[in-house]
Amino acid sequence: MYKIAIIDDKFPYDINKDAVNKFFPSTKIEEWLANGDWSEEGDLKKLLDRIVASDLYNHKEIELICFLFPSALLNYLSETKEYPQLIIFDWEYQTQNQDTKKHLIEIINQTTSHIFIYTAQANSIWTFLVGEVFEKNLSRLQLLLKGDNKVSLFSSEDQILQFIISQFKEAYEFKMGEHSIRFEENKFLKSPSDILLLETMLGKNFLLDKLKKANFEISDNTIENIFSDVKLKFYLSKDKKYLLETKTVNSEKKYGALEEFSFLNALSKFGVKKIDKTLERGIAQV
Amino acid sequence: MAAPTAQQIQNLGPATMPFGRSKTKTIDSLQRGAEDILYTIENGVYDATNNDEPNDIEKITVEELEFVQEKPNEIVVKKYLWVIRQNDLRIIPERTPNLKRTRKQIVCHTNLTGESEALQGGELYFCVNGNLYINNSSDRFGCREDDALYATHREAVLVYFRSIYQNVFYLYDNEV
Repeated sequence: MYKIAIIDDKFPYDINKDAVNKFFPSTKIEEWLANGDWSEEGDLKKLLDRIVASDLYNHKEIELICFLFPSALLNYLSETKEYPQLIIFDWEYQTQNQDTKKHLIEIINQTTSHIFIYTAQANSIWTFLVGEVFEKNLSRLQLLLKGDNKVSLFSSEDQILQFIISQFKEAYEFKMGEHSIRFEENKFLKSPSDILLLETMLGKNFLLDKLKKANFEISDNTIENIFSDVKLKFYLSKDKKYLLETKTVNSEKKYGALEEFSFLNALSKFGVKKIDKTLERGIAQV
Repeated sequence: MAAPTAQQIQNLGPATMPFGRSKTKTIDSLQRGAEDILYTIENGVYDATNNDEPNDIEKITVEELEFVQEKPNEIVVKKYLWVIRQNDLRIIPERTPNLKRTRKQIVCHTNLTGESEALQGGELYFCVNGNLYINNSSDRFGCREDDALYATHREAVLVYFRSIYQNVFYLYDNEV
């Protein structure tokens, strides 16, 4: 069972002393979603509604547990030694004097969980989350603004959902804003999260246009269609160690006779992450 | 501050918006967290002054220089990003966390510019031998080898850096 811990003091629960170290199981969250007053936390409710409505939750592959304070999760970890695979961590706590950064660092140090810092304060705290513990754990930390759907096709909530789905191999339907996308494992993308790389490579408007034409289905055919207009080539060094974005006299002098690949062939052979890296730096080791 | 001269600006430019020299990407490709600008030295941003170095500098060894291309991820802790703008040179350690980014939760070149123009961008290493090694690796602002202005830009970057720092070299003579 994939355990997701959510820490936020805006659950529709009357906070009092006994809540400090309490945890709440999935059944309680379902009850809150059905009957609670979420007027202060619409984005969190929408996220939880989507998790609870997912196939993964209904097939009992996901378990949710909630805490009102970071200290409650720390207490739970210490008592049960049961570590969630994913933690959704709010930054603001109004009813108790919680040292949020200190608790976040303790949670990072005590777990190997992936942690989304999911907060309305993301734009003001992002420069504050620096230092050795963050540098050492970058791959499992991400800061998301609650309800943000401005910069990317994928809202903050879409990204959390995508991350959860990516932990499971089966094909699933998921949401991009108002649109449902059906992801099938294919020879180009291994995980729904890889779609974010396509957005980086191609730009969100271009990708959205292509996805609309494909009826929001991600498959071999869709990817082939998306890249059919992209004329860019890639070049493999003679020793097959490097993938290059450009072919020039200088690059051939340095890397030997270069083998040419179409964008699609390169995507299939080297994978989307390697292609993205090559586009970013002009060269990547393969 | 290390503002380029009018002649340097002419040789380094024209200034470009993020991805303005890219074949596939546009400013539309900027992801969450990549468009936010960092301002202060507390955030790791350094405005270069004559032959000066950032605080808490991580210097690369001569031996490690050999592996920069082969194993860039292992030496990322010693890599710095740079951009030249109309009025300054800005430098930041690439290891600086940026947890807002969708992937690779470290800073990128546009965290030094926001959604604004720069003349050039790339990476650099301060070496224990006293040299500064630079390249043009930035998909947002770097000059590109297949661009008609490539040779002019590359030379202009070197001339500009040498007007600030002693002993500046390109990391690889024939680097792509």
